[in-house]
Amino acid sequence: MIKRIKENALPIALTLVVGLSILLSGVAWINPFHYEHRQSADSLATSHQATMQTLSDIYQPTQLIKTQADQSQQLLYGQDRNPRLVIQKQMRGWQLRRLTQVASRNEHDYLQILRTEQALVLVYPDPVATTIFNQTFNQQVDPHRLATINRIVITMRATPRVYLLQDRNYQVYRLTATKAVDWAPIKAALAGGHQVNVDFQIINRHPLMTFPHPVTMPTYTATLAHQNLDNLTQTLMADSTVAAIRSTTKNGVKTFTAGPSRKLTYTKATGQVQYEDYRGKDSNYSTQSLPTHLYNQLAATGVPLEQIHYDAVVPASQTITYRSTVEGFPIFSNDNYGTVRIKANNDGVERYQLSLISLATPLPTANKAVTLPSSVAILNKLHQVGKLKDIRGLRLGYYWQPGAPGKTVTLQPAYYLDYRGDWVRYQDLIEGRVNE
Amino acid sequence: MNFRRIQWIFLWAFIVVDLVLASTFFWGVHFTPGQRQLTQAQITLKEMRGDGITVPKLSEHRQSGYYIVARPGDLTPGQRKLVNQTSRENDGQVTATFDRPITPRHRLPLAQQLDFLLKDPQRIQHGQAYHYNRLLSTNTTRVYTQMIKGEPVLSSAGQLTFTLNRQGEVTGYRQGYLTAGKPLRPENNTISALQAVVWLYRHNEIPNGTRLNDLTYGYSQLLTHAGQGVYVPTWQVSLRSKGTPQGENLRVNAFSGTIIRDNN
Repeated sequence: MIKRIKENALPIALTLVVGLSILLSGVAWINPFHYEHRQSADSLATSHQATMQTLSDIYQPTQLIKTQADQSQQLLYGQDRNPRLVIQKQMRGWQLRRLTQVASRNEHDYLQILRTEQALVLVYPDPVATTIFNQTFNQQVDPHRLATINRIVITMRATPRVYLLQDRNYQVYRLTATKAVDWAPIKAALAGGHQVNVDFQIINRHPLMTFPHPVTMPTYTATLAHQNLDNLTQTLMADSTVAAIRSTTKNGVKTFTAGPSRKLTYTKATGQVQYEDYRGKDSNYSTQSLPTHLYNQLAATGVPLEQIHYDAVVPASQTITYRSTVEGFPIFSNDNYGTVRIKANNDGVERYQLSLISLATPLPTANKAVTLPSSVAILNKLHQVGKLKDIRGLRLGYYWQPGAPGKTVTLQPAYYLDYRGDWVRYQDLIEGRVNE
Repeated sequence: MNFRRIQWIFLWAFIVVDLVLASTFFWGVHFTPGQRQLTQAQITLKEMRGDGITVPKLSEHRQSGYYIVARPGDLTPGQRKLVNQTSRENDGQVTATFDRPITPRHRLPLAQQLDFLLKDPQRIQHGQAYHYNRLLSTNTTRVYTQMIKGEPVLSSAGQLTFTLNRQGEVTGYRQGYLTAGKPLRPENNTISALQAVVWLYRHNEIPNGTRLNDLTYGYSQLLTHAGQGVYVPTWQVSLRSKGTPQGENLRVNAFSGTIIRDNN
């Protein structure tokens, strides 16, 4: 036996080394990361500043509605413990499974689910990609089955059911918790604060949250933050390919150019900034990847994001609007204060529209609360003047009213209507101050 | 060339191939921990160590807090009724000197004596509202703070600071008293201790060769509006340069992540 091994030592050794080399190359094949890591740390170190607000902070549902046993619904705001945040934190620990379609293309079914008794409704201001929902709530909903979500209905049962609603085609999917959840922190957070009666209705084939009774809303005051123009131009325009940034001023408009493709204009009177980057090459983002891409662009602008949230998406032009909010209510300003609009590079141009002025620190306010009419009254009025047919949305929002020059802002409650694609103040629309 | 010779050549060739593959493999394994995908913050920490800055272990956990209004309380009327001290007032805060200093005793440690003192309304006003804070205290001070939503007040307007002499005797105190109001906005997430330090370093607020001590999370006054203070959640970092005995405190607004300049 030993003799035979000795005779065949060479072929045996050869077989062993060949086997070993196959094994080793196999390992190298499976773990290619050993070879490509070295540069990543250095390249990251030079990238822009760290952001304080995460993707989940920006893409949050902004409003919370509680549905009672009799299906009456109240919009909640002003609860100290911030129930929206508490629900999000709790839901991250829930195991939700069995994604099932429960309604499709049926207005009636859709409204019935929105009015599910003993439930909480979280509302996004516009559809949010399912991958973003998954990240925010730590879930695994298949974006191929349900691409976007507008509203989330959570039944307040020991083992809750969660309905994901998509306004488009009135799609509703249901998830079921696999075990009982702890409702105590959420119930504690719901206590106190203010409530406004609301009712979901479908108007012009759009589900709207309406206000059946007159509403009394507080006014808010805050200080302003002024972003430095030079810092902004540097962050947006300067990189290794740019030799110099040139600037010219004409009629109160300052224009910065960097090379042939990048241009930033700043209007001094309004604080508005427009930035365009002609990239030449298009890049198209999917419904699922666009929000993440534009969040990264937003974070890179250096605009203070503390009170800014996702507000609207236009899939056709790959544009997302991020807007300041107060207690979840959107804030509108004629000069785009506290608003950032970014268009991805789907046609060769990346475009930013923002303001150097944003909300800073809330201040105690002595201003009185304001009572607004019911939305029924305002929809009737719009019907009378023949403008109801062009309405696609209705929101209770806040109007940005500059206070002490450059220092403070007063936020006044007002109804806003989506009129031919733009959010306009009800008062302005009725009194004919809106360009037709 | 016979078959045996070819076998030998192949044997040596494969041994070389194996050695090369194995060496890259082990080399790769050896360097893997350092090559893990680093976050922005971790890279900054590495840079800081390169600048000779000593950093404690910092949490990446985000806290939560409120914008809250607090009004300075008037201590003057009550102060006249207190015993064993002479006091004067400055900017709404009281500075008092004990007639007889409080001395540490064998059976009764100082901490316990101060606790008794705080519970005695004839000697200190609103004493029960203050809680001892080890991180804010030094060799010559013992700092007690009021609490807002369970977190210490970092501004002196909400603190009671006992002053100690060289013998370790408590000679007097300085007191500010706040009455906190309602939150201005609902609770929200703040930045983590790590993000606060990264922000300070990125904005050149931490000189080379400094040592960072523990970070304190609490509330400090951001601005005054109509006689009331607006308080925000704050990360306070104490820095000490090598060779200097006195430290410096930096405060970061834990909502916006910007520095609070007005230290008090």
